[in-house]
Amino acid sequence: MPKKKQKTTRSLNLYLALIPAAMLVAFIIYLVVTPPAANLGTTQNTSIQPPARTGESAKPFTLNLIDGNGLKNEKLSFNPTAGEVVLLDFVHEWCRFCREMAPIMEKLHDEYSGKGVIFVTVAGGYNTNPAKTAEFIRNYGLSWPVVYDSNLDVFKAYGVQGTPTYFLITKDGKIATKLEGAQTYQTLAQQLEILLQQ
Amino acid sequence: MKLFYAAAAASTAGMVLSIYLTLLPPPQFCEISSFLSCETVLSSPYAYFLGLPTAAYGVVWFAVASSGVLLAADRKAVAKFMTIWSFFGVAAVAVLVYVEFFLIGSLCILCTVAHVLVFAVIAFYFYAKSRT
Repeated sequence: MPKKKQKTTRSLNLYLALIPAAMLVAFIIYLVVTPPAANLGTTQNTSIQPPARTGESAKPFTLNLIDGNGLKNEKLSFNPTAGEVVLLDFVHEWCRFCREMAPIMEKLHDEYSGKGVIFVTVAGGYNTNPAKTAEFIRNYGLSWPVVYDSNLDVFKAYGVQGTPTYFLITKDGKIATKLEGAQTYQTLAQQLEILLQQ
Repeated sequence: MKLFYAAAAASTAGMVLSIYLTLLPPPQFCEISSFLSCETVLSSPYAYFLGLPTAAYGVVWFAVASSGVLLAADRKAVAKFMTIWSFFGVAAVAVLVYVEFFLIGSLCILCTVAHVLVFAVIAFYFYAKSRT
């Protein structure tokens, strides 16, 4: 290659190499200004503890309540040993299977809340925000307590690896069943019936 | 020189994909089954590493590789760096695939595309180097 052309190519490559570098700088600035999750901080209390497993005691937690209007200025302190069966589910508003499960959850709530089952939904904050989560609650008419887990602290404490995930908790606060992914009404209802009879 | 540009193009594509995976929720076409599910992988605890989305590290790798392959064509020091950088890329992909298969139990197709792009960048780069 002639020296002049070689020099031109070298300069061109240098300028081209600046483009991805500039994109990276822009990306880092964007991440700093608007983090993809509400909070990127790692959990301090839960990460050092092993996640809850079936047969073990369900972990208590305190999170902000959220409804169709957004985050409420009120916290829910979840105490699994309150003497009632609990259906604890973990969702993300953008999760297709969680949306598909919403009518099933509503039906379960209608059927079992009167029989002493407590329903609590933990809505994750990964790649979403309280406004979008509130819209999800509004659109699907969730009428039971929903809490917002911005840092996924409770997700990690319960070893949730994907949404939706369901935990069925006994009256004495033990995790009886963990179900991952979309479930049928019958599966969840059957599990609740077993726990109610215990 | 065309092969270096091909490596840079593959790397830029990987960077754009990684930016997408960092900032936006996975698209619906990514949900094929309970095993082939981007949501399962990207909503798992492994989707974060040291407080940052794992895909953000992909952005960094691809951005550096994009610049690196262009500069490595006629700069020996950068070429050496690119060899080390390629090793990091392959090692990271190996770890991520292990996590997907054995720890999460689901495969994210878009993440797999990014993994394939890592190998494409490295293949184009080393093939280009072998011809210069």
